[in-house]
Amino acid sequence: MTDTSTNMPDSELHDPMNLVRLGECIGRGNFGDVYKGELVKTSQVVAVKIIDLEKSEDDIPVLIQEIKFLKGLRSPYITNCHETYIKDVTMWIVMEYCGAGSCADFLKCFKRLDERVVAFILRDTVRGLEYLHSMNKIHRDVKAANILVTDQGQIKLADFGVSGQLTETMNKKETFVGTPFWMAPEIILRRDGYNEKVDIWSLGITAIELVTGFPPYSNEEPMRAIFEIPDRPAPILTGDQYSVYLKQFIKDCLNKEPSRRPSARSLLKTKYLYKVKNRYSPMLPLITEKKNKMQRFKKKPKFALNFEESRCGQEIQWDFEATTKFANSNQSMSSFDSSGGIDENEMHSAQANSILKPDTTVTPTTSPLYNNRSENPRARRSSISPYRSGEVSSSVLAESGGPLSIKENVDPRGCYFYNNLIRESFDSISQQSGSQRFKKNLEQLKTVIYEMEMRGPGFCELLCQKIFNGMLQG
Amino acid sequence: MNEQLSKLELTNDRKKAQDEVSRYLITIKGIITGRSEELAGVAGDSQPDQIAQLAHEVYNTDCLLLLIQNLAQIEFDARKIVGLLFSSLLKRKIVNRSPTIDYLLQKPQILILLMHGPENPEISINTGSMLREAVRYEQIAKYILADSSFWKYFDYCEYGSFEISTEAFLTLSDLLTTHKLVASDFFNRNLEKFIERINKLIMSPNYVTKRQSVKLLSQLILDKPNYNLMTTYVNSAHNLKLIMILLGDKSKNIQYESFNVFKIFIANPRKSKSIVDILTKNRDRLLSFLREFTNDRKDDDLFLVERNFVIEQIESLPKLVQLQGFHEKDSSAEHQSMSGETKATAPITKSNYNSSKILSYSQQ
Repeated sequence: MTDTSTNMPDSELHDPMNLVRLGECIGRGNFGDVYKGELVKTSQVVAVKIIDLEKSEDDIPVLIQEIKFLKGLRSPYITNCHETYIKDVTMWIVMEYCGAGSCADFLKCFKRLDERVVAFILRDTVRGLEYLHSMNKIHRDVKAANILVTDQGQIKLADFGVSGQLTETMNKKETFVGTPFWMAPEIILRRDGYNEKVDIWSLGITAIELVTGFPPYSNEEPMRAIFEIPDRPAPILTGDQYSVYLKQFIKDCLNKEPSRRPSARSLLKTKYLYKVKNRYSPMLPLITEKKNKMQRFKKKPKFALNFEESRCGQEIQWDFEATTKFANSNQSMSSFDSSGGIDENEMHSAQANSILKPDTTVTPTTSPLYNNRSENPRARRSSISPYRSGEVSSSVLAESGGPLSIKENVDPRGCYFYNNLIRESFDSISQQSGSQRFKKNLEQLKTVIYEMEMRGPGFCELLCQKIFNGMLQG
Repeated sequence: MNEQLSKLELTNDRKKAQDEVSRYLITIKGIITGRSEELAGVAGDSQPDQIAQLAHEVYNTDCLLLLIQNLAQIEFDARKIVGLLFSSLLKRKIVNRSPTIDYLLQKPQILILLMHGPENPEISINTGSMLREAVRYEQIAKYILADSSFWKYFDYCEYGSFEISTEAFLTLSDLLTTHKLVASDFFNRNLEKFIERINKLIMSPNYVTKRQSVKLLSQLILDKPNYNLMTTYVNSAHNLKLIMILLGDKSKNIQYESFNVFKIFIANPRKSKSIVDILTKNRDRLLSFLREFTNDRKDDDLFLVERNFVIEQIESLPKLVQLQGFHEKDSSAEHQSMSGETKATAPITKSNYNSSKILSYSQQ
């Protein structure tokens, strides 16, 4: 399956365009589409998920970890992940292809499925879940659309990890994962987190979906359903046409108390699944019938593929000409230093410079201070608050201890006061004004205040406090 | 418990040995996870005792080394158990010594073997994660950073295969970021070489390598103990050029990551002449780029503050339009160097700027 025998550091060898012939789009996702493809070397048909990495801001390491995890999974009951490639700014994940489509496609074709066929589907789905759970993986989105069928009638659980997980990390775990109708109550309530038992609930809902054609309450608004699921009693399957075993199976899965739901392993021993003894997949006749009835419909990709033109690489041409000539000159840079003026000692002149733009005349800075100032690395480092997170940056700033340091440990509110009070006030005043000149002056004043804050963290807080106190007294 | 010996068979007779090894590994897994009661035959001792015994056997028989040497021959799922064994041994502590760490440092063959992991794509996932597991311990990170084969990781990162390059990159970045003091010590000793190698990575044609390594670079430069790395890095005009090339990349994400390095060049109060020279020459281009820069990050306050700061700093550079135009007319080397001189030392204010221009005229 793995074809990594060649490990030449040759980019051609790893260009997926040379390795995979892409066919039509067969599925769409939030971060990329899935295509049918064929491996050039072996003519093996595969599914290729193409993810646009420019769309994900800082989650590449998470994504990579996830793919590594997926590559460590091998089971006949899940769609296995073969290879991964990078093409320009996209990532190609080559996976097993399931030619007969998903169980949701079967439902579209047959409205509902026979209970005995469903038992076969569910048994192999549970086997897939058992494997995933044994690897400490939660699927989180079990539903008919994610249960795929191969041309040979095998059942494979799909769409865990990358798409599922990716959605989750992208959402920073703040929003719901999964599709409302299949969602377990505890996912919605989020009391003390959740565990792999959420998959068992979704499995119960999927069982209902497969035999009736729809998950319970599917005629409702999905967002409404989300809020109703935890309050409602667990759905049950009724009707004489269904066996007691199936009804019991569903009842076991749909227990609102997660710890009382059976594990995947014990579900395999229930009467409903245990009695499945098919020598041939009961899906085979359905596959043939479905093929005659409907063509696998092509899907229009959400993201157009375009590899003609690279989306990374140099775009702007800078002027670097002849610059090296002057490297290593030890001329004093004093006057420039004040332009990047950071050192506390030159605070005043730096401020003066940033207020007075080049069109204003100012006396050149000639003070000897600038030529032999003391090295103060920390003050320098804090100049532009190089740390991305507000908390870290303010603690660093606090250390630089500017002339205005009010507290020993300046809390992150320092930045808060600048960001939320000073800057906003300035911006709103600026918006109200019609004069460009006035706006420009405001902008400059704002910069000075920002620099004051950076040099003496807490300045903005103090300023706001003084104004506030003054107003109270007035 | 002394079944380990049979692993030696591996070299001779494959298939059978493979199954045997898997069986033993499953037993080991049972001991580690405490589910041994499920397995018939293993009874009596309590779990901690069994683990202690297991660890003891492992140290005495060098079975870990054998397992890792033959990892590629071991069954797919059983390889993961080797990883599990490795990591749970690492976590073991007796009072405040970690016997496994001592063992690994005494017998560095295992670490060396793991370090060459990316050369064997089949098992690189397993060896990579084992190595990273070990690197969490300071002494081991120190050992690896001091080893010459560490430098190979920069090459591995550039392999075409996704597997190898990402695996190697993860390890590389763990090594350089987990133990800040160890890393900073490493930088101090290998400053030039490191900068040369990371510069190669940030110019990689592979988007993922490029994006991740610029991010790593900015992270390292801003790590407090790496002060030396920062000052050295931002003092080189060559580095500035590379970062500017990335800043002008088509990819928004690469622009953004490289901005986080670029801003430090700008914030440096003692810019070298050649740096100022480059910035001055590109003043207008930089300004028009930065003003448009990542408008989709409007909610990121810190970013906007920093961007505005950078814009201001660049605005305060002298405009050299006329001066450049002037020298383009007669481009003798002497005059060019002349203009360079004036540019580099030209102060920011208009009055000074004028006077310097006058100076250069008069020297004409």
